[in-house]
Amino acid sequence: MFRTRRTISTLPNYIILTLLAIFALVPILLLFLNSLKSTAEINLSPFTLPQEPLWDNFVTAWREGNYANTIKNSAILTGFTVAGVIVLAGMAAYALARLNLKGGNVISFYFLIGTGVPAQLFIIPLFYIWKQLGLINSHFGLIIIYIALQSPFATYLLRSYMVALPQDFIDAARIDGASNVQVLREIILPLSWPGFLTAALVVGLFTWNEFLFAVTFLPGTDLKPISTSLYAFQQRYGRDWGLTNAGSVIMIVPVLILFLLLQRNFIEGLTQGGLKA
Amino acid sequence: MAATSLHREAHQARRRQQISGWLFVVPVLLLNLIVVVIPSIAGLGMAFTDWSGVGSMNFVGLANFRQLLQDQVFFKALIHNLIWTVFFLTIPVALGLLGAYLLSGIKRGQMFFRVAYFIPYVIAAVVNAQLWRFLLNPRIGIGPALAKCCGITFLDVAIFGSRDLALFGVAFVDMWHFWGFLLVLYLAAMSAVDVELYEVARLDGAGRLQQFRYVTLPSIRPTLVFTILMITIWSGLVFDYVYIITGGGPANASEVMGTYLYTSAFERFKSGYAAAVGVFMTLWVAIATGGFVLLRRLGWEI
Amino acid sequence: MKARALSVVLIVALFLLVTPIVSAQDEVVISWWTEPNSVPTNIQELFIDPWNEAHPGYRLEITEHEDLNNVLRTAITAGEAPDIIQSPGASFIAEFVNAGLVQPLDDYAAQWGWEDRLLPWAFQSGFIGGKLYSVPLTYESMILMYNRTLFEEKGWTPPTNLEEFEALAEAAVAEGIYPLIYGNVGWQPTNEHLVGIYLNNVAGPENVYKALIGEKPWTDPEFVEAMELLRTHIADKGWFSGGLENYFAIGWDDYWPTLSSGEAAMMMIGTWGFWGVGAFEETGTEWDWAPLPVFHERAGEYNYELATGSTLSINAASEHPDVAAEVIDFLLSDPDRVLDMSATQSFGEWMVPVRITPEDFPEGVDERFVRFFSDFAKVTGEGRIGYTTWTFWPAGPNVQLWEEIELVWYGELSVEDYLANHQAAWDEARAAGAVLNVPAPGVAE
Repeated sequence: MFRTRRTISTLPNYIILTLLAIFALVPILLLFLNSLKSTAEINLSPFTLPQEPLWDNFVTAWREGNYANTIKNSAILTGFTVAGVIVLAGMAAYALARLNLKGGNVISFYFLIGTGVPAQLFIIPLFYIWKQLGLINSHFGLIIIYIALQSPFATYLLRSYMVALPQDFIDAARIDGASNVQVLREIILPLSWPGFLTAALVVGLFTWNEFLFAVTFLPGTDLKPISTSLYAFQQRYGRDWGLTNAGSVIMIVPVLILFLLLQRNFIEGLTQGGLKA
Repeated sequence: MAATSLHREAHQARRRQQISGWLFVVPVLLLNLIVVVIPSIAGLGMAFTDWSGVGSMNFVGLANFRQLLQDQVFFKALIHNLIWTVFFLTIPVALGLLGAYLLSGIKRGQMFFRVAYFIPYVIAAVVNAQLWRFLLNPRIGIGPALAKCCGITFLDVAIFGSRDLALFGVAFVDMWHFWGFLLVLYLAAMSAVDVELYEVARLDGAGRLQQFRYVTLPSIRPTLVFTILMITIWSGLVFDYVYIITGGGPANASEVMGTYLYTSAFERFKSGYAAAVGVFMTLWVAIATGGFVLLRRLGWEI
Repeated sequence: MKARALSVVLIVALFLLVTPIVSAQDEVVISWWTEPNSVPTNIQELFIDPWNEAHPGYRLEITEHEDLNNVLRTAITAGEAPDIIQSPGASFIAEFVNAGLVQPLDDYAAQWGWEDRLLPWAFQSGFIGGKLYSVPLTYESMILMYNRTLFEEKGWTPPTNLEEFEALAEAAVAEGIYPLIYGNVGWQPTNEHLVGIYLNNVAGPENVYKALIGEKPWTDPEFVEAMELLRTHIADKGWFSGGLENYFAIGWDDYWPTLSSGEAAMMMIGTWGFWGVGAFEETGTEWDWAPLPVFHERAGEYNYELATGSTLSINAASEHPDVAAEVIDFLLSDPDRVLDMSATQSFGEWMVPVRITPEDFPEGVDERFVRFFSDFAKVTGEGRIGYTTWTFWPAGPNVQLWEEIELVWYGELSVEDYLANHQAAWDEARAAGAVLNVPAPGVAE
């Protein structure tokens, strides 16, 4: 009796939620379908299943976009950037959240607006500095930039997360004579790793998809990331929809797989901790 | 004596803690200083010159700013940023809240929906933009297809080519990619709300809407305020979707400060002028953040 | 402990990354950055390998760069640019010249006789302030492409004057066909193609020439008439893609399916459009091209607009300018090689303006391509030339021209005000010494 009433009352929920899911997913589904068509077929029937899946699109896109190389480069850039941000932002967030730093609030706010300077404003002076340091055309140089760009927001995010942790555990550890590093490693990290996962996801997505800094700071052909592969299809004389769609799919599939693998932890991480300002 | 020494020890411990705490923050600050702050100051300096982007530059004082304040295109762009902010503070926030609230009311399939809504967020801007340029193509997109099959004609217009619709078209695409992220944040906050509060409200005879109004909203206020602040900041900086889809056109109909800065520097070769636009964008962020801090000082719990 | 181990690994790995990859060979690299999607597919065997063989101790490195213009501007200012500077047009080079970032090429040109190898106007277009600073990597012109199958079906012929053009456009509209397909998505400067065509073919090349050299203001009635006619055709009549809104929502991806399927009849486009004709094979239709119609008597017989695509210069900071010049000379030295390479790009890219005859084209090349280049040589040789905005306009007025025309089309700016602004931009550019070399029309070679 009770169960029935409950089901009825959640039915509208499901209807609306399903409509929203269609809104979110159908465009992506179309992207996948159209990546298996020729341009002529897309022009004739843009919203149907492919008559005969044209897997060649992927072979061509893979070759012309030089994806074998760019995926490797993007993996390097993303991996090291995420690792760097997690270490540095994690340390900073811990200090800001739990060590009652004088002036900590100012720093937190600075980090929040640290993303508030448009890249076009500082990219040219930065290029000069990087040239002086010999960091142009090296993955390391670009990783440093990415870490610097992404750490402030990650710090802010992680700080919100750590502020919400129960103080009791930390106090107990302190009484046992634990140092800052020990508290961070043994208490904070295990408790807030879902928050780290969230930060890693946001930073990873940014790095994987970034274009402007990559083309500016990596003029060398062999070092370019995946976002430049796709750009090559979208030049002035872009080739065709089918090929571009295949290139797009190649770019998003690794991210999708990783997200689907980690999503349970990630979303639960958000749910447990909450993102509190 | 013992008490004093204990006091001193505690004091020293606090000092040590402060110092080691600052050591934890310094790497991030230092990196940010080198990569963002110092070059940005140099960039701001450009705003007082007539630099074209290559070659020599001359100091021109406030000339760029004077010109900017009389520049109708810049004024248009600024208005568009404001419209963009209003758009993003309403539609995606409403969609996110609605979705999260409905989602928090169900058990079965919750995970599926959460993942579904979040997926557009993980896809790169270039891909999303390309996808929607196809879907809203005036020749083979959704619009003409609906008109042909079902006689629904309201979408059968060239949205990105229309002066009245281009800005909203681009905002829509950006929103499609963004609202799922908001939803997940709101859902996270809603899951933390004490269930008993809802029980009490129900006993008082509150309907769904009232529960949402009087229990959910106040409980997730910190998250809500945080997202509002972030949206306001990002709306002043918006660039990529506009640049990729319309480039600010047609006839500046979707121009925002970000695209105007970019085209000033890289199409019109006025890097000094572009830097002055950048100053206004930074000012936007400062005002948004300042307002936030002020409200907090005034005792708003946000 | 784990965290410490992790950070050690991290630091070591980062240092490994920063270690520069040192080339094992002692070869000196001559670098050249170019646009992606435009490089001949046979460049390695026809150009790079032979050059390297002929120049032991040096290695030519041609790399493709996304967003080339912007990357190059940033790099050249910081002294990080390649030996050979490729720019999208002579007007871009003027700025580099003023900043002393590129070298004069006069000595090389004299030494190797470049003047005799290049088409005269193309050679002249590289001069700024009396010195040669660039040579064109490719040349092009504006033409009228059309769906021949559709034209035969309807009994149409390519229009040659305004009357025929308007009649044909009305006929197409009556049949539910777009007279012309065009749009500027993905490349806003597309607007300038149309502005240039109407300036040349309504006001006439003589008048455009006079305005370019500063003897006639852009506010004169001939130019007003030209821009009014363009506005009528594109905004009032909606002949380009069915209306302004479509024009602003359509791009290169849309041109070819529309034209080859007969949804559109014609397209006013540059010869880089040859690049897209593969679409006709897919739909089983035929394409062809014709010279652009002349819209007013004063414009005379039909002409071809002169246009250089990309240009090549030598970085002032290059450590091996003489060797870099040898690369350019190698490019100019063999018309057969130019055609063999450019053939892989449908003669839309890397079509170096060397002197060629129809016999120079490789076997089996589409007659329509050969017909264009032969006619272009003949007609321009007679001095029947027009001027493309991206070759003969300085950067400032050029940008104003394609940006503000959108306001004109939307009726937010009057043609008179638009042209007044254009004149003002010219005055500014002239004062800054950014004016380019312009060949006079009507002067036979």
